[in-house]
Amino acid sequence: MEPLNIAAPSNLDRKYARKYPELGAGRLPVDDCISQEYYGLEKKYLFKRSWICVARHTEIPNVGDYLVKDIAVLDTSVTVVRGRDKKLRAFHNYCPHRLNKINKPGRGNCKAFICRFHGWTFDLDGRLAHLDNEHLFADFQREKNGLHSIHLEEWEGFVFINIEDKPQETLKEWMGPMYDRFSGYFDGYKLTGHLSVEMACNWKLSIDSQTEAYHAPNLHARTLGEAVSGKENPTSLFHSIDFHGRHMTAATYANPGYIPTPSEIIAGTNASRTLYPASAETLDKLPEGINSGRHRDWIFDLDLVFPNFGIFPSSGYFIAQWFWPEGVNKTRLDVMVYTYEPTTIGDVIAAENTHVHMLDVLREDFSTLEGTQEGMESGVQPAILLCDEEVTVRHTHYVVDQYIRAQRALRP
Amino acid sequence: MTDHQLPAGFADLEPFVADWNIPKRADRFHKRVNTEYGVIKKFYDAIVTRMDAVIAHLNRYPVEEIGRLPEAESRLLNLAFSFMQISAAVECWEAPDNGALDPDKVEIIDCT
Repeated sequence: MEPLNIAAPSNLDRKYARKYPELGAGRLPVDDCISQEYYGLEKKYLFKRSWICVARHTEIPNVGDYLVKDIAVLDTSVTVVRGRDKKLRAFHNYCPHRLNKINKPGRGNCKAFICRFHGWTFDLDGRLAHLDNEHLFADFQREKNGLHSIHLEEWEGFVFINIEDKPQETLKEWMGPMYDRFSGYFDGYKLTGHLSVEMACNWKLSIDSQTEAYHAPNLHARTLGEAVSGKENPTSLFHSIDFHGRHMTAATYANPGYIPTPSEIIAGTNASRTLYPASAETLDKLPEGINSGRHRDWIFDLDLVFPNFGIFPSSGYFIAQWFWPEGVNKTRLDVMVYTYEPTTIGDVIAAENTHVHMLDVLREDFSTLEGTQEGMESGVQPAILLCDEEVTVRHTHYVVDQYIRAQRALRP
Repeated sequence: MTDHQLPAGFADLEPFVADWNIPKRADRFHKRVNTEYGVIKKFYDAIVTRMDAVIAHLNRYPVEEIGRLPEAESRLLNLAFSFMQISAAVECWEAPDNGALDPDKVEIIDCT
């Protein structure tokens, strides 16, 4: 199957169509969300040739801390470990001897990795430290039979891996203009919520459902809706949408006329910083890359780090979201909620309000995913319609497709 | 003993300890979506005007001690968390749940 031809010429006088003419304004074919063959292209040319975020460094702070993740879209299981030198390293989680899987997915702390099959033992830096009957292996060199290493780099405390033999770009080059936008912002926050859900939908649909705000007044009518739409902006138009190469940032509007609910008032008056979903004032302390327009009526940004890592920063919390493809119509979503370091128990109670409402809003977002996948697979329509404000959706499919084309041309 | 499950001054909330003294967020969520709306509303009405006092009382303890509070305070804290859990049910949709995604599909993982 050929890659998609998403971009159609645009004569429309719409602000984002004018700003990003290469994205076109035509209908967006559904094929890239329902074709098994296209999913194969994504695995081979996109995910296996990209920097992929797998964790935040605070998940494995101490020497010997490790985490193991089965990453279906990379066809491998990955171990990330903090070595005796405090450095993080990543390895394929298979013993070089007979390729047995060494650890189950999860987290732990160890002094060495031991394959239970035959007892091969590996140091935290991946070197083969011990095996029985070494002399019975023909032409054996211990130093050549350590764990298979994976390129690892960190950005702002997020851990990225790249399973190519030789990554085509450094992580800094990969992040491009995103690299310096957050400058230390994430450090003051603590993981206080984690949601995980598996949906029968394509991974890009799970991104699409959260990277436009056109849906907010409707889908979130009884939750977040009034906080992000109002008299001046009834359809929750973004303040701005910016594409930084393959990545994106959109600044979300907050309704200054929003009247908080009693529980939000209780949370707000007892918290030392602004939380979700009540309107957030701009804090000058935020780095330039967050709410870069310095809007007073701003609630949070939607950032997407290509291809599948989302960050939604606000003033008192941020959300990190992993959109993990597990098949053409199967996606695992991991949502991590980080709130500011509490100074009182009141802060913790206020943050609970954030967690609870966030879950209910996200469940509304998730509720559309399987129905949309079903609609796309029904064949009733070969393409979907997108308005100018949904240019973020167009961009996501476009950059995936462009990347696949470029990589296929580079190395088939 | 049932007379003194909460700190002094919070006797009016005692009747809600049996239902809403729930330490884990996931359990509070499932309690909410599986509880009759009338029961939720009764708890909400009783605690909403008391929350500022509840928080003021708990704020007398340093945040570092949140996991080691005296039993009565620990129950009060769980009631406060439960209030946040049920608040939107009363304030936003007047039903235990918003009718979005099946509550059993989402895994709420403990971060403590």
